[in-house]
Amino acid sequence: MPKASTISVLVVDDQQSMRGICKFILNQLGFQKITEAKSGRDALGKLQENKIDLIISDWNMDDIDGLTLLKVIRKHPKTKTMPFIMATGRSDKEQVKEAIVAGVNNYIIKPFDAGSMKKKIEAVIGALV
Amino acid sequence: MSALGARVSNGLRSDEGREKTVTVNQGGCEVSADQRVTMATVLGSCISACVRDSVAAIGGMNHFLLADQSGSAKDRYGASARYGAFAMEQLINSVLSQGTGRKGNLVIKVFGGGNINSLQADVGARNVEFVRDFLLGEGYEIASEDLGGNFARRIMFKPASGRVFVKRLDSDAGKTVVREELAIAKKRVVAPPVDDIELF
Repeated sequence: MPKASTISVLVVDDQQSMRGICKFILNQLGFQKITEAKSGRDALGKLQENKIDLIISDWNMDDIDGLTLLKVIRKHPKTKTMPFIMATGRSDKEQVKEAIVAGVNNYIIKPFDAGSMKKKIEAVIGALV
Repeated sequence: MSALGARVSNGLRSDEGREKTVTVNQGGCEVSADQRVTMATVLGSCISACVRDSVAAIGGMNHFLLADQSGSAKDRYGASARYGAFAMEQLINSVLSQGTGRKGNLVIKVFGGGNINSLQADVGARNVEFVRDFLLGEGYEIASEDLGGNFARRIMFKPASGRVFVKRLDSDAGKTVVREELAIAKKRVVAPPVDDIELF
């Protein structure tokens, strides 16, 4: 079972408050290695600089949105199997389906709390200890 | 339904050619480009942000209250503050996605946060502090505001033009508004929406 404190998470969101909320919740779940990216473009840079085990990304972003980021990551040999959770305010089934087709591992609808985040992460990487 | 259980519409719910008033209730969020639409709400301690894409001429209004914010650093990301942040993000993203998508084109006006009942803790002031901090943190300027005070307000927002009309209400009306707001807010903790698609 994966230990939360050893897993590196990349949180991608163009809103500082949302990154803060996500980081706060991840800390509650025991995650300590958290890298923040303020855009899809920034995320691609952070992926080159850091060892990342899990990506939690917003959908709506200015430059490269979450879906485009996911598609780019799935095309790159080094990151094509990287666990990716989409955090979105869009509960529209069609958009969720679009993310599934692009290879998203799971999605979480805002507003979320620690319980729902834990459930989504565990569905992707296994039960946390 | 949106993430906050609020309706995000295109505002095209009016009869052809007729003016239409869309009421934005607590927890609500409406977006429209319809010139016939006026969005309206009544605020006691609650906050409404009116966000408009000045190039696309589309705008929206939300309406929320952070009832249990303690002001401590821990509660910056507590359930109540998270609710406010999601309410603001929902509105901003809805306007961006239906408009030009450029944050620089957004004009943001904020209203409410009154302290109507002086015997209660100043819930309004905490809400004012929240919305100012949120917008500052996200790099947005407040183009116009009518915040605080010891009165309730009726707000009318024309999303297509961006004009906002504010009417200050008398104290009796204000006390009723605040009682109702707090009752609603106490029920409305951050509850994750139910997924109807499960991925394994």
